[in-house]
Amino acid sequence: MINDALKSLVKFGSMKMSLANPGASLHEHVAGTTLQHFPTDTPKAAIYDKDIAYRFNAQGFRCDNDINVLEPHTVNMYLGCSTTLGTGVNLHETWCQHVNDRVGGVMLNMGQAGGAVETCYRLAAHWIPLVQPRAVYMLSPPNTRREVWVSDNDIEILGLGGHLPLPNTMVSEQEIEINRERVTNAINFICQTSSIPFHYTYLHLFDHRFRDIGDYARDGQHAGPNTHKMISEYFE
Amino acid sequence: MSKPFKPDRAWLRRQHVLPDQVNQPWTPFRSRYRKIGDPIAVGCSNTFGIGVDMDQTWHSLIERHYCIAQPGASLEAIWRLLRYWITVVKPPRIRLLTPPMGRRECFLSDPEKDYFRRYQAGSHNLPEFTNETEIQLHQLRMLDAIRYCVGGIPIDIVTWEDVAEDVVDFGTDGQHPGPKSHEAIAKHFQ
Repeated sequence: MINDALKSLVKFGSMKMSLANPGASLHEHVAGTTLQHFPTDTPKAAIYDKDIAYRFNAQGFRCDNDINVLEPHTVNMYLGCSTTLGTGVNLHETWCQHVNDRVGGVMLNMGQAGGAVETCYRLAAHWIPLVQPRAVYMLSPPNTRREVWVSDNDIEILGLGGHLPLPNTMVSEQEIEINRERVTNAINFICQTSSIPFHYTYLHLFDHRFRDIGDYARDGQHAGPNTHKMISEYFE
Repeated sequence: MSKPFKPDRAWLRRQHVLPDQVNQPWTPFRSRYRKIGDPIAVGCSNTFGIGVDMDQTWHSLIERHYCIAQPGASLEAIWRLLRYWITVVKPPRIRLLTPPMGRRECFLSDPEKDYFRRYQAGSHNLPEFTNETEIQLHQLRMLDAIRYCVGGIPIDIVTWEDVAEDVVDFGTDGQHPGPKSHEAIAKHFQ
């Protein structure tokens, strides 16, 4: 069990100072609740009627299980942004669920609405040693986002859909691509050191066939159920 | 006949091939006797050896290295250079003295100017990246990325913050570590 591990002080890598809460979900404020609408999926934004439940576990992840009851080596961890979280669709319609149905095991959806690739790294660095998943799957968030700690307790997202725009020094296409690659390298290293398979997919939904099928989530912005199914096929 | 309209969607495109500038140093490598197959020494100006002779640098005191250090380098620059130069040099070992952890590098993609700009967190250019937690998390992330990109090559990492207190003299510029300090830094790698 990882209960004991969770109780112990989490030393974050080789850093001399521990972070306030490096494993914090961006949705910690709704931890333990079930919502019908979340965040861009508002009643006003809905383009069709559908019953959707957003159940958040005690740690603030859209997951049916609290992390402290998960057995090591039974969990598949899913990292990503709002597409992975499943904004506008039910949990069983997400690409993560399709992949999980195929590979078996317990699904731990750590998708973060508004999350950046740095968010994925932070969660991976904190939770992988505790959860000891048997595999990690990641759908790359938009590269035009960055997560920044603006104080010891506050995170801000810069760029697409974030609190502030990206700084002018970080908007070149090359810079965006280089950043994605180096942070993904870092996540890969965390998995590698624990001998955990890391499955990574980088899709540009805008440039892909997904764009043409007109399958949208309830909020009219995110991927719909059929698109999620198609995304899951990239993890085969 | 006018060209058909094509919206500028550069920021949405998937970039498969990065330009060659990504692999190149902005200052020529300082390594008098370097050879392919030597261990690589990498870092910032302290590893480059500003203010001391090449033979007095911490890595020369250990053994001959293929030094790819760059003055002003950040961990991003080190990751960027290592991922290419290990394929050229094929080193049996890598020794890294990290730069001051507040540094950042950005790729400006402006062929009229320098491709890479180096910023110190806290400067007016990057006011968003000044928090201590952000700086430390960035160092941790970049060291993980570096350790991934070097693959199975052994890498010894010593942080500047660990050796800073051993700087007891200065180089000829009055700013960088002097010969005695380099001797002390070399001991951290042994």
